[in-house]
Amino acid sequence: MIYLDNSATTQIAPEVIETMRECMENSWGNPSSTHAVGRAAAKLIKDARKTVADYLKCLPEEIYFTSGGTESDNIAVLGAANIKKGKKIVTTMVEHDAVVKVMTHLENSGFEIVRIAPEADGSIDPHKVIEAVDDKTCLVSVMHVNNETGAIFDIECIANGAKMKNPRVLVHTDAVQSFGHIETNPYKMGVDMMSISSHKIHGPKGVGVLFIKKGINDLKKSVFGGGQEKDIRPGTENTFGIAGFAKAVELIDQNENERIKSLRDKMKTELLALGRVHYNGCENASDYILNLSFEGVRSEVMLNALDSKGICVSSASACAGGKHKSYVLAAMKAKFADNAIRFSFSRYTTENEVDATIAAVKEVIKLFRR
Amino acid sequence: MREILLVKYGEIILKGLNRNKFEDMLIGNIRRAAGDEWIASVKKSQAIIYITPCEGRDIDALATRISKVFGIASITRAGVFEKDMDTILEKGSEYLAPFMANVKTFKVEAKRSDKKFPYNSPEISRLMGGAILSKCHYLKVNVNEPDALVRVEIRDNEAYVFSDSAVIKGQGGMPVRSNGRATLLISGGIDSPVAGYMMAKRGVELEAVHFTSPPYTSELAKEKVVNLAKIIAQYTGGFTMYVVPFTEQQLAIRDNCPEEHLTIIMRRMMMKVTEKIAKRNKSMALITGESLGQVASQTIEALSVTNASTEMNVLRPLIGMDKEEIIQIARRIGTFETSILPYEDCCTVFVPKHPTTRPKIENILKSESKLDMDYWVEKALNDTEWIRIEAE
Repeated sequence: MIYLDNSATTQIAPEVIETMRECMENSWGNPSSTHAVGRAAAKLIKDARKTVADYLKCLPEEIYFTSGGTESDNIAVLGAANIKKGKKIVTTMVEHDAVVKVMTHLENSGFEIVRIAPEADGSIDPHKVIEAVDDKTCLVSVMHVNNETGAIFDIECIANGAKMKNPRVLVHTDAVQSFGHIETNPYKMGVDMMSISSHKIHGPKGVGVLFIKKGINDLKKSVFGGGQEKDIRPGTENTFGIAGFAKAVELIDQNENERIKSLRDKMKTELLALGRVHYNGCENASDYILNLSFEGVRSEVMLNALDSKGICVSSASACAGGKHKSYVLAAMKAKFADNAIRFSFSRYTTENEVDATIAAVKEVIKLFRR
Repeated sequence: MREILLVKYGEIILKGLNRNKFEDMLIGNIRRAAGDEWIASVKKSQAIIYITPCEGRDIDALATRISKVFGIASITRAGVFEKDMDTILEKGSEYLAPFMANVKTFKVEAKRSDKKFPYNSPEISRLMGGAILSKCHYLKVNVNEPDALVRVEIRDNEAYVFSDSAVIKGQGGMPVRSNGRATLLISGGIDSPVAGYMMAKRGVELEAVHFTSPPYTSELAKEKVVNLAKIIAQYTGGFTMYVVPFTEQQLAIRDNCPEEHLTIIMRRMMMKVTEKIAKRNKSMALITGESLGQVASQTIEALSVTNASTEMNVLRPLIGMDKEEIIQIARRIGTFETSILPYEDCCTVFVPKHPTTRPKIENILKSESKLDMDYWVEKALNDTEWIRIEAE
């Protein structure tokens, strides 16, 4: 099995499994309990919080554990959407559904949502975002790396520019696809809130983090309960998940990036050389995502054919008849959106696997291209 | 208190000397559909089947399971009571109250097969009517046109109390297996599952054939058809589905035959493959979901050309139905939601831009002669796999 769908989810690291197993056996207490069993669980969460904070180069008290990227996005956007401070929110047309749908919800409850369109190569012009910010704007939410094309958006420029135009505006970024792959230092980026997820970096599903910059304490609440995570995300902590996530963070190896980049470059070069293959993306892109359109072979045909050869990839438009086309590629006005395939890599990806995939794609094209 | 189900059957009742055989078939199908862990005992008497559920089983859930068995006209929940008048009145009226929540008027009819019971039928009716009125003050008696007809039956060992406001309608039809075996061509669409349901309703034992075209069709598309078949199996009981990989055949047709004839030649080849599978399994007819004029391949000319590809009888239960009528049945039997899941099916993989709507058999045969039909049919048969489908 060759797994090149790491933007969807990643294989859980064996070290993470071991950490979680140990935690389930020994630290199963409720972190809110004051007795020894509870204290052991609380310590585990405290350590995990520090691990994530150290990696992000922020303070432990700025780390809030959540159930994952979607919940982090929801808490951040719903929290910052404060009609008293301004009814306008600036975002893009290519955000993850977790942001897209919460924006629609806010729009229906009276907010004005400005959605910036991507350029043809999938990039976002930061100045267009900044231009849309005014003194009625309460929030800017732009993702760091796009999950379909891998395009990196210049959050630093966006955050600085937005705050210059309106110092009261809050800036949120969904960094689910960049965390662990490129630098995600919230202070350097200048953001107030950042969403990250564990299962994209070989950690368990069901756990994530929302970074909230110190001093921001007037977020509107969207989850109610027993006060955990300073009441931002109440509910008994997912201790096993949090421990596993922290282990996954420890295992992040930035030195892998060069190798991944060379694999991506190889695949991109060799497949583009086949002719009638189109690159969906921009130059400033994540090393971990490669989106190509194979003219004459519909996405689902390529997907099914590779699947039958034991190669897992994903199509941007996964459904027949174009009923659920990728809104990202549609917003880019990509000409071959129906033929798009996303390959996404991880540190477990080997050169042999990339070679085998290139060979398989060539074969599929030979057999099924029209 | 005990509760039982009274099952009334429909058309079987018209059968003469064979009736016993049909009844036993129906009882067998009911037992299979419900499962041994649901039914404690089954009795039949005077055109009614009496079913006692196993201890602790929800009687409504059992009724729902059984209601999908063909050959049943209706199912009624009935309370079973000791043959003591005070008990029947007190407990019986209490039992009936929830069934009377949505009715305004009622009438009681009593029947006693035990003539030694100390009250006669009119007396029982009158007393029970009074008992019900004392529990449900909002009710009125209406002997001519009651909303609910309450029955009290005094049997040899016990008394049954029930109301026709607690009736669940059955599917009607004939017991599956009472009318031979036929082979359904099933796609992932709306029509073919309904066609299978309708023929099974007339007592046909089904088997199914499904064509796939990987990689043009996905594993999920195949799973969808398996799920549709499982829904049909709730009505028919388990059956076998043959899965025929058909990509090479479709490519061969595409590469060798005129574009406007692609669909019709593909359908003819599918019929030939299905016919062979059917004959191997002693199936007596083919079933398709074709409806006259619905698409280019279902005009009267196209159907004739398709029909000419097989010697077997082709049953087309939807032939005279509108799409809207078919959808209504699909919704009622529960296949619609699955049918509309958006996966490619093999019939829509290679669609000609301008399919011929009035094909002539000579022209189609001429186009067909450009490929080795026998070879491709044989190859399809060799590649065929089968899946056992059971209701979930």
